[in-house]
Amino acid sequence: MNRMLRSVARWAGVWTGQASFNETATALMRNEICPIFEGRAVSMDFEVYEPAGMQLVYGVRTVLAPDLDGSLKTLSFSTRFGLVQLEQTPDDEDVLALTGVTDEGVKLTVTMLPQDRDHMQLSAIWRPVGAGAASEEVQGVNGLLRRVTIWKPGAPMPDVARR
Amino acid sequence: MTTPLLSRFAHWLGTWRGRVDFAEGHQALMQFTLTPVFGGQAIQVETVAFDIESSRSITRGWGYFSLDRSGRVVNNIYGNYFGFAILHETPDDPEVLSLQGPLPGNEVMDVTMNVLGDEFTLSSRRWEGYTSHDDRPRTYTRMKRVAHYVEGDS
Amino acid sequence: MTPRVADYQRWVGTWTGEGGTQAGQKTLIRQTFSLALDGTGLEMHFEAFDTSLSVMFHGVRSMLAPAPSGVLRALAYSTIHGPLLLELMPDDEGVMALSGDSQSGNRISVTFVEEAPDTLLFTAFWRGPGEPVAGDDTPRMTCRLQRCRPWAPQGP
Repeated sequence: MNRMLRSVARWAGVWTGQASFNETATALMRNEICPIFEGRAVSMDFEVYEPAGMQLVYGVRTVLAPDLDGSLKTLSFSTRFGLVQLEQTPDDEDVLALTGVTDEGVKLTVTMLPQDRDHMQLSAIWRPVGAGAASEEVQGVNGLLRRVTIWKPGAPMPDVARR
Repeated sequence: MTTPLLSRFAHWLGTWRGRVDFAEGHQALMQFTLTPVFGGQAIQVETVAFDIESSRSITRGWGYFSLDRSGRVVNNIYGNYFGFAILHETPDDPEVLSLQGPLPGNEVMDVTMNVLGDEFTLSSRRWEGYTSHDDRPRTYTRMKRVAHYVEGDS
Repeated sequence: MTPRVADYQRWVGTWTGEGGTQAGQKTLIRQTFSLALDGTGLEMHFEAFDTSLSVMFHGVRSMLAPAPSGVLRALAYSTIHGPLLLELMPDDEGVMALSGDSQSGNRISVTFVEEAPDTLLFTAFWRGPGEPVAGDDTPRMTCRLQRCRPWAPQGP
């Protein structure tokens, strides 16, 4: 198994957290990672929700797998961009960095940066090809995902809003 | 992800495939997939047996392993040929998981499972609930590991 | 009419909404339905979170499938109640009412009511052994779930 793919497979599970959407709006993220095809690939179901009412803002279904030359690629369906293929780009060890261009000429960059066993920084940035990184046309989602914490009966309830 | 359940069964996770000899006499190809859910609080078990000649699935099953308060395994299971049951662990050797529980129709099911290296063996039997023993044949399954849940992790 | 898995096939997909727990907290809920077991079963996956999605109050994975008699039951694992077998109670079309006892003897009831093609009213409650039978004023977890429809680029 590809070394990076093995690292990603170890992220298997449900991750949730808060994010900023286009640097202004607050959003909620859920990412479910699961090894598939008998360990030869990993699926990721990434969803971004508006906090009030859980309206889906952005959803991506991805299969991450090695190409015949061993390089990692994704085949994704994005609710914003349709079918997208991303390729792994060099980055630090254990960082999954992917980039690609949609048919509409939008450059997508996704970075998943594990901070420890249970926390991961995730950013998904898109901009028209040719637009600079500081361009106003840059949009995206950025936030910290945490491996989901499950409340156990008997434990204190988290400090949450009452209806 | 470490829980008491996974401490005991992490090496069982993944996909297993091999021959099943059903108590009724026919053979098929069995596949088990064991996946942790809810951070390892439970293990989801999905099973399918394929007829070797026609490739059609002849049995389908689903279930969850979890631990009760005393640390014994509880397995609530579904099989399309026997229905629904909740099985509880019964005493056996430490490396063996033996379970037993009632089925609808005054029947009892017992299952014995063991993983040794890359081999998963399972035998099961259904018998009349009101008799203390019964010499009905068992179903035997012997499967080889097809995939680790996370390769290199177990 | 005996319900069949096919009766719920139109619910396949992801549903979300904001509701309240039985204890009175606000909660965000995500529910998925998908066909499984060669199309003979309906896999149901329920998650209820706090409003920042940081703690999962309750998670349930379940499978609705036919017993050999044809009767539908649900097999489930709940992060609160543990392993469950739930009976599908007779009800109107467009309703899935499940009920059963946990291993600790708690009575669990879960109901989905299809209010509109893209709206499900979810209610659930549990009571301990010996507690009075639930009435209309019994606290429940409730949520109006909407089918997940992604925001479109030309949308708001």
